Amino acid sequence: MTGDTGTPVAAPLEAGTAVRLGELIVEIVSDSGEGAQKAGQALGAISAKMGNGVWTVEIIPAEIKPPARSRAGASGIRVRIGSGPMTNMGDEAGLVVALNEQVLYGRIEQRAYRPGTVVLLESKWKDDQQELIRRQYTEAVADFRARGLVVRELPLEEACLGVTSDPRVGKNMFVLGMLCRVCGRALEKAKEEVAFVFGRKGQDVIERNHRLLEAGFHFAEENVPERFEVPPAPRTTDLIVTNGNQAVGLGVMAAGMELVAMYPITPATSASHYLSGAIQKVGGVVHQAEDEIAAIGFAIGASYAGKTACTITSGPGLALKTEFVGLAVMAEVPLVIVVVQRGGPSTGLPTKVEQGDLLASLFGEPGDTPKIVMAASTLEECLLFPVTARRLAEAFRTPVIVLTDANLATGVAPFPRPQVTPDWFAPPVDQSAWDPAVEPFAWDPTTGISPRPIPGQRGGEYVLTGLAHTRRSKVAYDPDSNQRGCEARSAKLRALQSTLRPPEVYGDASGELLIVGWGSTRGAIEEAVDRARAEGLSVSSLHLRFLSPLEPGLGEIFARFAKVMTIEINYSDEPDAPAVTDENRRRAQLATLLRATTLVDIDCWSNVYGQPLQPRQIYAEIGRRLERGGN
Amino acid sequence: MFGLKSDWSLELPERYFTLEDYEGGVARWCPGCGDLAVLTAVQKILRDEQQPPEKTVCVSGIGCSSRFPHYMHTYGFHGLHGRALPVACGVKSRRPDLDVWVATGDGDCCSIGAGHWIHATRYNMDMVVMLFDNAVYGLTKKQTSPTSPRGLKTNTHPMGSWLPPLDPLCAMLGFTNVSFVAQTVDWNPVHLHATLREAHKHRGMSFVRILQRCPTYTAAVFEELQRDPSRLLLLKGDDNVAVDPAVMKIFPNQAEHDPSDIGAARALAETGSQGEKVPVGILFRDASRPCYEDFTMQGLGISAEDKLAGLKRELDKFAV
Amino acid sequence: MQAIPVLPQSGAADDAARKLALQEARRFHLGDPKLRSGAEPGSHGLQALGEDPLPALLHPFRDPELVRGCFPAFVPAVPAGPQAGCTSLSSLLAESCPQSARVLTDNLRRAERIARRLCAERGAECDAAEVLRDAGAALREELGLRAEQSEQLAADWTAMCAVIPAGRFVALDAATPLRFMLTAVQVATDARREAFHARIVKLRDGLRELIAVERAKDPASRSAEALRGSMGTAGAALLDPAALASVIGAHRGSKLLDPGRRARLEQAAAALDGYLGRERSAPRLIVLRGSAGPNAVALAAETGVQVVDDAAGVAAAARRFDQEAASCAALFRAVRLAELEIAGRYDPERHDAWLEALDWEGFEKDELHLVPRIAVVERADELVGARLAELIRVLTSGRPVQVIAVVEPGTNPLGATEGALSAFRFELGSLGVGLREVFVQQSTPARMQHLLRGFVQALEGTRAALHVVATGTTEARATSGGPWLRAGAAIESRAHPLFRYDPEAGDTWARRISFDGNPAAIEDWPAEELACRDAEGLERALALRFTFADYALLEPSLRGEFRAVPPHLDGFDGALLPVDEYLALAPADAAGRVPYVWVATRDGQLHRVAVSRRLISACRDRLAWWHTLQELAGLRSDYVREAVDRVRQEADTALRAQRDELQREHEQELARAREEAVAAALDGLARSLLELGPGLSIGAVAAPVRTPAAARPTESAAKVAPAAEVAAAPAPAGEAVAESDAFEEAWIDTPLCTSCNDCRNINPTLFVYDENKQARIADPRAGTYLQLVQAAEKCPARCIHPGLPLNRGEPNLDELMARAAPFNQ
Repeated sequence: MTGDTGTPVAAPLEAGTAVRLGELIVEIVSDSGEGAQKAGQALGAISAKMGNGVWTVEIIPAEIKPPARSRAGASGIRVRIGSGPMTNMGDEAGLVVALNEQVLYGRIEQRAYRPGTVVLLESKWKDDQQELIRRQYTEAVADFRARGLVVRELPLEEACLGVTSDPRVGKNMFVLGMLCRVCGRALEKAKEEVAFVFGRKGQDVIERNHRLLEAGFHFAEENVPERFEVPPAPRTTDLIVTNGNQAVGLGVMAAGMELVAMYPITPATSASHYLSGAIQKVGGVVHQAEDEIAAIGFAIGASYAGKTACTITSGPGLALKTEFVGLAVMAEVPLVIVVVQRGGPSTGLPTKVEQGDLLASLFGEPGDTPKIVMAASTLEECLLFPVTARRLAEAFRTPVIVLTDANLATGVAPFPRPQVTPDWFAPPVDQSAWDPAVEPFAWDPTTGISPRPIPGQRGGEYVLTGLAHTRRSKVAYDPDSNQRGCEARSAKLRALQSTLRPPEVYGDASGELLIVGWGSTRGAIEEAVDRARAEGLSVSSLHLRFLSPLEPGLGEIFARFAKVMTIEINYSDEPDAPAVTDENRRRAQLATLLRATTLVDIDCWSNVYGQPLQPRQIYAEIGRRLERGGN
Repeated sequence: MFGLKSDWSLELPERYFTLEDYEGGVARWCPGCGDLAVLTAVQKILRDEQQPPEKTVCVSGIGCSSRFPHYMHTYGFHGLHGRALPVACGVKSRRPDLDVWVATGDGDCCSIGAGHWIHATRYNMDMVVMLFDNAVYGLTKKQTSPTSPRGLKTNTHPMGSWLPPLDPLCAMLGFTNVSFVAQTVDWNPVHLHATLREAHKHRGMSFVRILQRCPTYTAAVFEELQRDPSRLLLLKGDDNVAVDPAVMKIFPNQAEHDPSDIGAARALAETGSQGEKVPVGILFRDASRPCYEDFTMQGLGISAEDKLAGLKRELDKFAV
Repeated sequence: MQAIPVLPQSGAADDAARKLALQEARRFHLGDPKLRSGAEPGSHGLQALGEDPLPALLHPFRDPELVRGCFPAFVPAVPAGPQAGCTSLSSLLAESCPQSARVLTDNLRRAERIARRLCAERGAECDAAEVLRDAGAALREELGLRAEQSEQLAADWTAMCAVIPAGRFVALDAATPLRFMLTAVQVATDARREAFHARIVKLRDGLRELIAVERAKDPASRSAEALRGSMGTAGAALLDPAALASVIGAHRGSKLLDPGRRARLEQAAAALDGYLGRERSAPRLIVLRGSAGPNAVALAAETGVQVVDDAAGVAAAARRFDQEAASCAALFRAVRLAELEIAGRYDPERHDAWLEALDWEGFEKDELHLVPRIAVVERADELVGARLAELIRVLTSGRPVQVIAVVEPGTNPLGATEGALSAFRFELGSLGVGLREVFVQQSTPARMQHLLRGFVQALEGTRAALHVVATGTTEARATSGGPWLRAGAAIESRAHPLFRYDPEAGDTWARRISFDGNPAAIEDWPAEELACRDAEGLERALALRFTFADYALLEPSLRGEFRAVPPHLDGFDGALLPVDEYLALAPADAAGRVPYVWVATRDGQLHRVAVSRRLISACRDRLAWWHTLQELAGLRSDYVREAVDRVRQEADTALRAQRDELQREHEQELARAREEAVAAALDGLARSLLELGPGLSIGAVAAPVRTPAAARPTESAAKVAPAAEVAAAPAPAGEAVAESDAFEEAWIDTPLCTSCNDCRNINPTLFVYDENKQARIADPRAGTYLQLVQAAEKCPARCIHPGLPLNRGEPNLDELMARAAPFNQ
């Protein structure tokens, strides 16, 4: 990644020449229902097909039908286009199309723009019948300009009227055409994409949208002086483009799982939506249960009966599943639990980004419940981790939680197409006879691993129980049995940890500052580290995928840095907030975990604004830390 | 000519099972507990049908009766309080070859698991659900259960329970897609056995409420019923539980009942819930109701090649 | 259109000339060698047959090009529907033509004629789509329409062709039966093969699953390499597979298959895989062409068909079948093994030998149908000549071989050796039926649905089949009319009646024989009207019957059996009779008369033609066989008629008897009613005298009145009380103690036991469970009376009855007996 984000500051004055950029962030914002997301997705797809790196993220209002022209109702899409691979949504946008001025305020509040951002603004409100609207518009444009935004007032709807009688429906394709021109996207590629997207709706629809595309393209030629170019980098591998939830769905299928049990919950549900339409083709089924508890219970039932199963949920759902997660740990039932994190606590911020479920995943159940917890840091890992998780769940006879978050779930980017082999799939259910001499919990003294009889195996009959039990699975209230059982389940994590490779430090292996992250922040952290290192700062980063057990060798790595801190999207007390002391400060979740396990004085920087972290924010924090460290 | 030499139809079952093959250790219920009769009845049915123990799965929740799987020498799942039904449905969803029995109590099924109860009924998967209804929480030592009769003195209602009891039969007969509802009593082993056998034969979720004596905490609740058979109403008919005429004589009150008539079934349940003419026999049976496993078992046994091909087609949809 | 034939001018002649002519005709009929040998006309008017004589009824169809027969026939590439989709060109066009296409419908016959011509030019078989394409073009050219209409016609033509499936047009020649055999094989086999394919795939996958489960237990599948492969690419990067391998350790728990079974599974899977690999190329029909069989070049080009020229013909069929069956047996062994293994029921001790010995005789019906079909095609005279013994051996061997005997009904099978007029005496079909357990059909491609149905029926069965097929193509020197007409004439004239004999249909003649498809099946000969003109040119209609004598006209070697009689014999002395009427006469009545048939010559002139006595004998022979077939098919039966008469008579008698009986009963009833009325009056009188209620009859007065003190049995006693108790007579209340003394031994009402263990906890040797886990008393001496009483008190089902103590020395007996008393009631 280049150090320069290349965000444009102002338009070139000479018409006809384009500004060449390493990357460009484009937003389309509107009231919901105006098709901004469809236009943005097409722009992303066109760019990916041209060979650019792309990260697309939807801007979603919390309400399904927010009022029109409201700040909270900002709906739309951000498309980050770069020469190289894009791993996060980036910093402030360089170009934005806004279909009314109020929604733009919604984004300004979320720090989406900066001085110099070019705004292509629908100007029809200037002449609206309502005086209030006319005044709002005029005041806003003046305010935008005062904030340093470059505002181009454009009569978009009027221009559409020349091509379609109902501009409200067709305007998004007009905008796409316009953006193709401004961002240097090939009109032909856009037409292909439109034909692909509308293919099922018939030739008439395709042709109407082609006309809108062309009209938008020519309109921009005449009315928008800016022109940008983001040259693509050559690519060598086959790519696929998905969001994180589709990737999870593909991963569940690539793991050969036969059953997905779920209950609707944002933002996890779209993974199940995708699976519901696809999994039959690979011999599986999605069960929509009556509640979160039944969903995991159903999956555990299927898994107990030898079929690989998973459940997909988000924070409040995980809370409800706790009891069954405990049972799965206690009774050693393999299970994959995908948790797409959202803002918390309680029902919190359903559509927003947070990494707040780490400790709940590790320690959410009463008693000692050691289990495997992994966190995907990229879209590709969203696809690949369910496969690994399935294998580990079976090998270690335990539930495995795979954490992703709303940032990954809604982000869309190209990544290498997985080369699936049948070895990834779960093997068929063993129905051969069981050696009765081997107990159902014949724990290996070192690894804690025991072989699992499956209903149908003659001679293996046993009664699974959540009560303390012996190796024979007989209920036991004696102190010894309980101690032995807990030891065995704990030993499994040690055994797994002994097989994990030590994590790799991104940047120098030693230095002033080590940033430790987990989950979806990886792209932003590494981008910020690159930028800081390019400026000579002594900073490296480390990204954890296994949180339970923790990856090995952390203490030794931390010792090589003067300072270690985590950057996370969950709550921590600001160190300099009133009455906060080093002793009573509540730290971010990974920091808490690492301090407890490594006894290193690990600091943290985190917030819960519900937004993905921008590289620029992290870069700024690195600067502050190193300055502070210098003091 | 063809066929003269082949003897393929001479296949005999490889094994022969006796009751002992289904017995999983000595049951540790209180002396005189009605659960014992149910345990024996189930073992007898499995023996009669020569069901391989390894193909049988007993699922339970938590409570006295949920110890049931431990006393069977089959596969078992003794899970969480109230959660037997989701687990049992999960087992059946991809393993239609397994014979699933659910043991659940009045607290387990009708209180903490009531939500699952409604939906498991709607899923109507092929299993036998035995509601061991002793009208009290026994394992936790005498608290009011949803089916406790009004006025029963318990540790949570020492002056007597306040509200009228929930009637599981009335509830079942109101749930969507209900396909089999029966009631029997633990103290009549013949009727108990015959009822459970009918339940096992039925394809779909067969719900059998078993009025079950708890000699420790609710002895009085059932004593009257047991002593005075005129409180019971034996349902009979061509399509109902068939018992020996000698056993039928025990019931002074008998009524012809056609289990396909849900209206009549509801009326019987309603009368029974008032404590009069408590019906025993099959109240409702409809084998034509859809079974959820017919949907969840789709794609079973698909080959790895087909899986891979299907997955590749899916990936193609996302290819750049 | 052929010109309408013309009746002869009734010649004027005197009776003397007529007598002489009649005499001459009689002499010819009776076989006067002089008249027979000479080809020249007789001296009194008997004439040769004239140019190209045909039976009068066939005259309108003299030109084969103008006959709209069912050939060329359309045979679809993939058979569909009950008729397999085979149809005539005429119906194909008529059914596919769009209703709205005016010009096309008006010219459909023209199109048909063009298509027929194109087919004829292209030989025995041609691609239907190509012919239709060219025919469409030719039609437009021929019609020379204006551009617009021509385009419309082209569009309509294309629309018509679009609904016609891929297929071929097939001419009627000696190889046509084979073509239909292939279609029948498709009908009878394709769906089975598909189902079999699905079954094999399922079994193969099932075996693979078992093998995969087994592989997962191999050390290799727990190796670092295998783990790397199974974790996905991310897992392999984050974990060290070698370390994971050492952590996971060796397989434990589920048992390994014994190596023999694993090898069996793998072999069977390989065998099934092998089949799936080659099934597409495997033949479904193997045609063995005997030395005299027809050319089958076109058929040999079809996929799934193998045509083998083998002079050994029918003798080679059994060998070939055994070969094919042996290679199928290997597959079926694998299938059976797979089925048993997947169900976990394979027992090498028991099944190895069976599988080893599996040959075609052990095949199930479905399996037998998957063996490539073997069809032998051979001329009938070859079969009944040198190869007769071999034919019979194959047909009776039980192997499902299809023998197609191509026959000329007029002359062979024995024509070559025995002379034309004796040949018909040998019925190959009848021979086949005589073998009893062989499927036999007599048919012709000229009735293609009949032939196809027969083929399919034979193929659906599991027996050898003999198909006696007249193609109309093999007569030595063809006359006018073409093969379709000739083969049809063989059917009409009873020379070659259609029938099927299927031993699988049942075990009576009526079930086994099917007779459908024959014209006028209940008549002796089919009747037809012939439009003609008389000498004056007036239109007339002749009512004719088509007899074997008419058919014989088509056989040139039999021309000597006919002589045209002069027109002036018409009506003379009732001496001339149509053959059918002649045959219907008693021999005495027939004497002196001359049978004739109507013949039309090429110029359209009709002649009466006298028929020789030898040919008439042949006609009688055909008719007798026809009557036999009618009877076997249940169309006529003397037995039935006699039985019906008898039954009717019996029924009449019975009816009369019944009526008499009823009458008598009625009278008796009346008498009884009168008596009872008197008795009732007396009864009423007695009742009032004795002051009894109205519910009791006089007879009941003497019976003892039930007392309420009668013992009420306990619930349990009512059910399963020991015999002693049940038998105990109700006794007065005062004798209760004595009664309980009657069963002093302790007992348990076992069916009521709820298996609660309470009694067994007290004394497990005294109380034992039966095979239903319900309690009974094993030995009353194994415990104390105290224990019995305690158990009875504890028993929640209250089904333990302690009885009286056996050991009178036990302490506190009085108290115990008092405690026991409630449980002994």
